[in-house]
Formats: sequence, structure tokens, C-alpha cells
Amino acid sequence: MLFNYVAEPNSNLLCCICRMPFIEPATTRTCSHTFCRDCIVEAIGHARQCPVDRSPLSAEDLVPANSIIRSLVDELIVECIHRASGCPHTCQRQLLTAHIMDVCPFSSVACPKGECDQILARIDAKSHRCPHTRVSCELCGVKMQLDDLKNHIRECTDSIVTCEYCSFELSRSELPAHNTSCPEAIIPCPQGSNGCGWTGPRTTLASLHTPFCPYEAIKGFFAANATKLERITEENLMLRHKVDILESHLQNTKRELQSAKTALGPWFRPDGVYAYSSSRPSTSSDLAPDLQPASASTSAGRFSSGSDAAALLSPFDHAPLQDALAAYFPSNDPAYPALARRQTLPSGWDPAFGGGANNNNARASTQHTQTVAPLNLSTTLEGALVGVRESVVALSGAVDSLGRRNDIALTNEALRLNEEVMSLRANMHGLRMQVHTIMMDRNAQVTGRGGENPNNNIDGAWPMAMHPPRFYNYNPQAAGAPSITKL
Amino acid sequence: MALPKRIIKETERLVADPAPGITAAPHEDNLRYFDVTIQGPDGSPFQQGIFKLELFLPEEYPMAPPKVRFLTKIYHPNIDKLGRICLDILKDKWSPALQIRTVLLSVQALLSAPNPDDPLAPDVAKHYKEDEKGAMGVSREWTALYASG
Amino acid sequence: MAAKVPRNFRLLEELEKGEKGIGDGSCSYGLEDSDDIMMSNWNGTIIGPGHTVHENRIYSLKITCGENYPDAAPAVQFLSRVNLPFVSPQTGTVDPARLPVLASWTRASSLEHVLVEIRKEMASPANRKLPQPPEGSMF
Repeated sequence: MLFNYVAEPNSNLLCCICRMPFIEPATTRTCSHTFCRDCIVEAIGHARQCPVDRSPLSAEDLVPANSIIRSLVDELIVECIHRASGCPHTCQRQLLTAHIMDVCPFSSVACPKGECDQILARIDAKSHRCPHTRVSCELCGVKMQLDDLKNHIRECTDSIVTCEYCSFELSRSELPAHNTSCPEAIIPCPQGSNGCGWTGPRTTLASLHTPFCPYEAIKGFFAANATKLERITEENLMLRHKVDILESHLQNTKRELQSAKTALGPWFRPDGVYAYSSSRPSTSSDLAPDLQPASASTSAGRFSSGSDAAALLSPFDHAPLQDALAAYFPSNDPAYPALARRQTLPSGWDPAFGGGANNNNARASTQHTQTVAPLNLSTTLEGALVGVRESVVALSGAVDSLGRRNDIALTNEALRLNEEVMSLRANMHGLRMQVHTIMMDRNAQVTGRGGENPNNNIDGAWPMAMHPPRFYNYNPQAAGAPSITKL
Repeated sequence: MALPKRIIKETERLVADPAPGITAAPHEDNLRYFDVTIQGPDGSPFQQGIFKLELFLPEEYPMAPPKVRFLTKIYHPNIDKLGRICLDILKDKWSPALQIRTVLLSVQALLSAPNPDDPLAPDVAKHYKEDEKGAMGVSREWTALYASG
Repeated sequence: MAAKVPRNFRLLEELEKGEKGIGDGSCSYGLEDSDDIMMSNWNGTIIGPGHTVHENRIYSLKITCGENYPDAAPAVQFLSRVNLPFVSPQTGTVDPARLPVLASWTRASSLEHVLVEIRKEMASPANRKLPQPPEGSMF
């Protein structure tokens, strides 16, 4: 606790460590210096020596100070620590604790009733109505916390309320019953649901309104009507439910159909006509004649002219797709001659081969027209796939034989060329020998000496070792000659 | 943690009743940090000089000594180039019974009585030992040069 | 409020720590001018961390502690040429925003922290293999 002393204390009573009057003064046995107990204990913790004379010191050397000193500091007049809050009390230091504990109006105390854990100043404690205090409702006797009482009174069943129509006072719990019988209560005409707009006090209903109410007279009709309407509504509801279910079924079916259509592509036929052709053999030669009669039969009912190929293939939504597909397959249909030629004999092939190979190529192309089956859209997907597979098998055979023929042709050609080159090389060799002889002759004429050590020819700048690989040494005498011929 | 009462009381006394030739004023933003001036004691080579110092009371004060340093350059065997002071009560001889005032008075006394046997600035100490007159002359020059303001 | 150590006494503490030597000796620092009573300009040295491009290199830095140190971070500049993402390739100045120890500077940080953190950055996976200017070149 930090004390505020009313008067400046005698400097002999000050602890030299904290500079305040001693608290629990302790004196050293060894050198008789006095300090606050806490101060000297802490100081010894830092250095085991007396702060005043530096003589060695330990905690065992401390004894409580002389009682005169203790009394002097205990009787110093201090201010209450709650002075800032407004307590003007001053007393001897030793009495301050008692003042704070028991008297000071500003010291903190717990809830006097002990029913809540709020801490409050003593001065406020008397007027403190603990929110947790148990109280009982004056009307119904139910016990509750002070906090809840306000809300409770607003809805307590035993509180007295006044009927808003007849000014009769009664407890809240009786009010609903009263409302159904209060003669002054404003009520609507019983025929209000049928359209009567009258409202008025209950007492006047039977005497003044009912005899004259136009709806009263036909209330039997209303009742019958209402039952009928109810039945129809019910039925309607049931039907609507049924329609919902059917609609969702339909949606599902549509979705499935759509996915099936997408999967089948051009082989999708809504009328299932293609079924018969799936059993027929689907070799390449047989498929071609199939195309026309099948297409014609599917479209005969709907189109007057069945000869146009495009029209043949387009009785369905997928017509454009089918056209696009068909373009990738050769057809024997005379309507597509150009297309058929392009497919079977790509023009890019021709210049790649020599004249000899051209014959082979022509033969191969005629073979192609027979091996590649036209795409038959009028059969099943399976049938078409079988046809395509056979075509591919035939094609691979054809490619294989073509490859072998080309190999042979190439080998022949290479052999011939080889011989040609050999004879050219021989000729060339003969020519070079002749030129060499001529040059040697001229060399002999110009220098007057033939076939001497070439090291003398060019200032010795090029070592002899560099020469041999650069020239053909047909005879050793001519070794140095080429450097001269270069001139 | 609030400033200990002891520091408040010491500061009040330093400002209201300063020791002769010594001023100490705490910084507004740090009440443990003081601007200090010490007058060179009469009869010493530092006479007439006004030396600026700074002093800081660490968290452990008064159990630990204050930290003191010269800000004015001074030619003294126990004070180094950075103004650090070699004084036993600022180190192992500290006692919580000492206070700011006593520390500053000790520093002032150190100016009167240089101790070249326990040097912090060896070159200055050597100078003082070998040629005290000449060294004191340098101290006087430095005082005039740096501590006359 | 705990006692707030003023700039100069804080720097004296750091100086004494630096004189004793810090850590494993891979970083060191000291006053640029031992007469500098304001202790503003410092020299730092970092020995490049092993198993990186910096291995066996010695980097010198200049550290400037301003008026508001240690409330404000010091200014750091490489004197030796180095290629690091937070060092200006022209001047060697360390961009405080890109070096976490400077970006999130607090009073608890110190010159030692700065050097040790820069050295850690050199050894980080992102920087350890960066191509470096020739050893010993200066800005």
C-alpha cells in the first residue's frame, strides 16, 4: 500500500532505498542500519552488502527494528487512499487498514446480500438493489429475480385489466373468455365471409341486423356452394399433382432420347426403317448398290423426287451432318464422280513418282475404288462399322503391296545410277591424268628443271608436311608441282 | 508500471534544490531520462567548463545503478571518447542508498581528482602519468574548446 | 510503462555487445568512427553463409542509426556489391520495405538482428543461388 503522508516525515524515518518512511522496518544486526523489510531484502538479492556501508550482509542479519522506530512510523498521519474518490479521512498509518476495511465509504465491498459477485463502493452498497435478489410477484406470488420482475408484471396472469368495450375489470387470465361473451364487444356479421360488411356491438346483432341482413336469407345456398367448391379444389389439387409427375417423367424421357440421338448421330432413324438391312451381308461390293434402294425406300413416302442424292440423305434433322460425313467416304453414286476421284486418287501423288512408277500407281488407284466401301447410312451403326473395318483391312493390304513395288523400283533405279556414276568417275580420272601430264610438261619448259625439292619453291614458308594431303601424289617426282601450277 | 515514488521524489528535489554546479532535468517523454550539466570544479583543469551529460534510470533502479555518460568531449583519464565514465559507484560499488544527486556529485569530484591508475582512456592516462602538467594543459584546451558554451 | 531505454544508452549497450562479439562470429559490427559521440554511423560485416553463392565472401555494410533509433529502423546500405532482391543494384541501399526485419521493426529489434536476418536472407532458397557480381567489388 502506498501511503500519502499529511506532513513531511522526519528524514531519520526514511528508508534510504525507497526514500519513504519505513514500512515494517528491519535493522541489520551487524551494522545497525534500518530499512523497510521489503527494500533491504530486495537489495540483498542484488548484492549481499549493506547499502549504507557496504559491509557484508545476509537476510539472517535482519531483525525487526526497535519498537520506538516502529511506533514512530506507525503513528505517522496518512490520508485515506480513497482521497481522490472523496474520502477526506486522515488517521495514524496503523489505523488506516481498519478504516478502509470497515468504514471508508469509498472502499470496495462485495454485494452485501451475497447474491451477486458485483464489487461496489461501500457508499453505493446500501442503495444497491442486487439484480439477482429473489422477489415474489405481488399478484400471483411467483418468485423471481429482481431483473425479471419488470417484464413479468406486464404479462402476469393475475394482474387486473379492463375490458376495452364494457369497462368491466377482471384478471388477465379471464379476458379471452370474457371477450367471447361481452355484450358490448364489436363483432362482425356472421355472414361477413359471404360479403356482409356490417359490424356492431354483440347485443344489437340479433335484434337489429340479422332480420335485415340480405345474406342471411340465402345462407343455405352459400353453405352448399362452399362444400362444392371445396371438393373441386381438392380434386384440382390432386390433378395438378398428377400432371407434375407426368411432366417430370416426360422431361426425363426427353433427356434420355436426346442423349440417345446424340450418341447415334446420323444413324438415328425415328421410324426404325434401317432394321432390315442390318441382317444383310455388308461386304464392300454389296454395300454400294445398297445405298440407293435403301435411301429411296425411306424417303419415297415424303419426297416426290428420290433421285437427288442430297435429298435422299436429308429426310431427318441430321441431314447436314450426314452430308458432312458422307463427303469423307467414297461413293459409287454417279452424282459424286468428282468426289470419288479425289478420294481414290489424290492429285498430289502423281509428280512424286517417275514414269515407271506411274503405271503402278494407276493400277493401285483402280484397286482403291474397289477396296473402299461407301458409307452406308441406311444400315445400322454396327453394319456401317463392319463395312469401314473391311475397307481399312483392304486398304492396308493395298498400301503394303504398293510399298513393296516401290522398293523394287527404287532399287533398280539406284543400281542403274550407280553404274552411271562409276563410268563418269573413270572418265574423269582419265581426263585428270592427261591434264597432269600437260602441266608437268609445261613446268619443265618454264623452269628448266622438273621434279626438284619443292621446299625451295616458296621461301620455305610452308612446311613440307602440309602438302601431301592437299594434292594427289600420283608419282613422287611431281610432289612439289601443284604449288607452281597454282601460280 | 507507474514511475516509482522514489524517482518522483528525487526528481522533485533535483529540480527544486539542485546541488551546486549541477543541474538535472528529466525529459518530458521519458521521466527516467535526464539532461544533466556539471560545472568543472574550481581548481581543476575543467574549471569554467560546462559539461553536458545524460543520465538514465534503468528499470531495476534503485537496485541497479543509473547509467551516466558525458556528451561533451573531455580530456580525462577516466572518461573515454564516447563519454563513458569509469567510476566504481556506477558499477560494482553501487548501493541502493545512493541517489542521482550523489552520483552526479561523485562525477563532479572525479573531475577534480582524475585517477590515472584505473583508466578508461589509456592514452590520456599515460599522458597524465608521464607529464601531468602537459596533460592538464590539454584538458584545459579541450575545456575551452568544447565545454565553454 | 516499463522503463524506455533512450537512444544513446541503447546504442552503448549494442556497442558493448558488438565489442564482445555476437553469435558464431559470422556477423559483426562496430562504430565507423570511435570518436562519434552520437554513435550514428556503424560498419557491419557479414560472412556469406556456406553452401550458397555467398560462401566465403565477406560483405561490408554501412548502418546509420538516426535520431529516432530504436523507435525507427536504421538505414542499411551494402558497401560490397551484392545481388539480393532487397538491395538496390545501383547504390547498395537496402529497401526497408522488402526486408522483413526492417519492415516490421520494433524497439526489440537490434543491429545484430539486422545483420543476422540479412545473412538468413542470403541463405534462403530464393536467394542462395542468385548470380553475384565479382567477389570484392564495391558500390
